Amino acid sequence: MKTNEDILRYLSGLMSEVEKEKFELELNHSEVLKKEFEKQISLLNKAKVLEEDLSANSPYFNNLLPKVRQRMEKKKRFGLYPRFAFALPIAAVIAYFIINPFSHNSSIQNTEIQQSQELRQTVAQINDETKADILKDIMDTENSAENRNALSSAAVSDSENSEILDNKVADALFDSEEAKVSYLENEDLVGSLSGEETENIYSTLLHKKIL
Amino acid sequence: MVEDKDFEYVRQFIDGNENAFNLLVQKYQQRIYWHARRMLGNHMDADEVTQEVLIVLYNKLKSFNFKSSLYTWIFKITANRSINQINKRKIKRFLFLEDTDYDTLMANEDLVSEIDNKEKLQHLDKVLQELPVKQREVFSLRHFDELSYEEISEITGKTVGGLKANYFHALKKVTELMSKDEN
Repeated sequence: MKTNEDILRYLSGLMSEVEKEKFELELNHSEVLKKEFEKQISLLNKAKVLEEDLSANSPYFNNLLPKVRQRMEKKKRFGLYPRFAFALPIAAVIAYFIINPFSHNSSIQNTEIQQSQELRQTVAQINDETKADILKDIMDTENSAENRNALSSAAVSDSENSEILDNKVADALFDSEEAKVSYLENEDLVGSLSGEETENIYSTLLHKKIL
Repeated sequence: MVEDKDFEYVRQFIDGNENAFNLLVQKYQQRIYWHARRMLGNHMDADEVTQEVLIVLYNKLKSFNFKSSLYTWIFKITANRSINQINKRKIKRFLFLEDTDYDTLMANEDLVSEIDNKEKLQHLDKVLQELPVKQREVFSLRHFDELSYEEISEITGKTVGGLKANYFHALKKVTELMSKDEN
């Protein structure tokens, strides 16, 4: 155990010059130490050899430069976009709220006036008998609507239907939560943080003993 | 000699020779990738950091001051980006934005497809992830990239004495874990 520690201290450069000389002398004379030293070195070099083998045989490194060039091209093409990404939608929304209330209200008012004039003209043209038929039709429609409401309440109160409804509501809620998470993930808010921002957030979380 | 060649490439790139950048990428891409991989423990994050570093290199090479060696400068960017990525991952985990499916996806995406090598690599990732970030960084730069403590000190901003102690603890842990697996 002491031998192992000495080997690691030697490899780390933690030994003083005197200790180093003594260790090297022992390494030249002791077969046990030599064997243990070589064992440690070969253990540590295993990982190095693996990396070298994989680097030589992987197509990843041949495709890396074209991938980076492509990414840089994209950045160049949309270089201005991120700065104004928020400005455009915000400007559009502001413009909508400034312009729309007037145009929207005035168009609704115009339509309503036009419709009421048309209705008055139509009513004036029809005779009393037709008016009575129309009123009867309206009453029938209201009755049938009442019947439909009654039927649908019965269906909802039915335990099976109610369960289906509950499941649908639950599914809808779950979907909306999932959509929220998926939005955050796809937008990759954390991924888009700058180094400085990440460091600030991370150190705040550490400082507050949250992480 | 190596520095002379690197500086020559940088000068050529500043003069508008795009091919000089390609040559620098070919020379350093593996070292950048492997450092990021050792720090992050998976291919997807290492790939992301490698691409980011190369883009930074392309954009900042023109402001390179020729005072330090190019590879120290590149390692500095890589080390910073890797630690930044580790912090982002921790924030994401804290915000529940990273789940087990993502971890599985990361494990499936890899540099190699052969099962044997894939397993060996994942085992190496796992061993390195057992080390605290500072020890991992020093171990990676010293053992794999064979940088001197002075160079690592320039990259990390830590004292040589502290780096030696970190490296010793990293060596101890790695050899323990690896010999456990051997037996």
